[in-house]
Amino acid sequence: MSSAQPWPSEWLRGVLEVCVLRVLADGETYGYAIATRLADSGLGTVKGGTLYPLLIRLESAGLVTAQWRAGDGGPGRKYYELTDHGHAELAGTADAWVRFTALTGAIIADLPTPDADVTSRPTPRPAPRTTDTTEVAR
Amino acid sequence: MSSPVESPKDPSPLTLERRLAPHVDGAWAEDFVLELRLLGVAGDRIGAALTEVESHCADSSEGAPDAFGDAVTYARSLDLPVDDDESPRAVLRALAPTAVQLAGMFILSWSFGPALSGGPLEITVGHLAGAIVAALAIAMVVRVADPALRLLVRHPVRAGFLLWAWLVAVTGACVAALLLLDAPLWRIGAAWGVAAGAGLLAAGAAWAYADIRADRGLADPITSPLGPLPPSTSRRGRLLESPAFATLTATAVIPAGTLGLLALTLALHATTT
Repeated sequence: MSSAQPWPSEWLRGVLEVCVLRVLADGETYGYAIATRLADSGLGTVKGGTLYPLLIRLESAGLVTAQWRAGDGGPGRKYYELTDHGHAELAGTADAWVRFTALTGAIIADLPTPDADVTSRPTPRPAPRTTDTTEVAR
Repeated sequence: MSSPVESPKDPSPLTLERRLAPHVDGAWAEDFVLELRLLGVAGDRIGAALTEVESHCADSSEGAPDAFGDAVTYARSLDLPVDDDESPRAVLRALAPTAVQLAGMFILSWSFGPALSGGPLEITVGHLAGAIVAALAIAMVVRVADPALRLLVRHPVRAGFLLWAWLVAVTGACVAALLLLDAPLWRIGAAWGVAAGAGLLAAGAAWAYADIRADRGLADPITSPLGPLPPSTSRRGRLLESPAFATLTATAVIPAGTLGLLALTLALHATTT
């Protein structure tokens, strides 16, 4: 993995929405500032081609509102702001993510490595064979 | 802040894309706008989407292809709502004034010769069949407008040949119907035909004018969410964007063409008598 993109894109796709909502929870801001904030946090480069379709989806879903403002000597920018619905969505999703990452962390930490002594573990036994009554009825 | 991204394929700095998004690669912006147009997205939404790309490119000093990838893929990924005004029914409704003007032009030009020679106007089976063929051709154009436009943009040579062949086929069918199916259906005074044709022509032009005044025409300009765009720096650009030009093309082109046809008929009549 490169320094610009420290995490696999599949992971980022899953977590990007909640991260964007979290950045917006600190106050209204525009697309490039969100991307910069996420990059500075260590998430890696979030390309415009990924970020803006997500922001449009959030706007369509009523999680954010947007407003255009002319720039002072810079480009005009579209500012996004979290709605009440967005705040509620963030609270729910963030809680679920924390539990999910704790769970996956526990699974990963608990699983033995391939070098561990496999004989010390009980071998899973196959499930007892049962008669498929549906098959017999046919 | 970066300077505008230059590219050998950049269109003229006078284009709308260039004025709306000076930091965006011109060819990329052109592909992006074209794809959104083909998807049926309204002009104001297209302007907002392109302005957001401009904003990002200006802030990040990145080129649009690097930051957003392929223009067509990005345009589709936005999943912007399709404007109802771009539906086939709406397009057909917007084209109706032009169709009325064309009907007036044909009736007037068919009637004018007999009116000059004092004979009656014969409506033949061929006239009726030609009108049906023309109506079916227009309906087909509306029906397949979207894939046809995509083909024309992506493969101009192949699509141009297909379009030419189609036009030849439709015109050939109309001419063959007129020549072969000459059995008269109705015979009316040519003056009535002239009056009906002129009436339809005037009504169609008035309808087109009313549509423009009520902003119901096909025009759906790309606008900036930040206010009016700076005017085009070229005389040609300013002319093409002027409301007077849109009004003239919608209301005066077909009547002017009809006048030309009538003048030709008059000249032919004068030489043969």
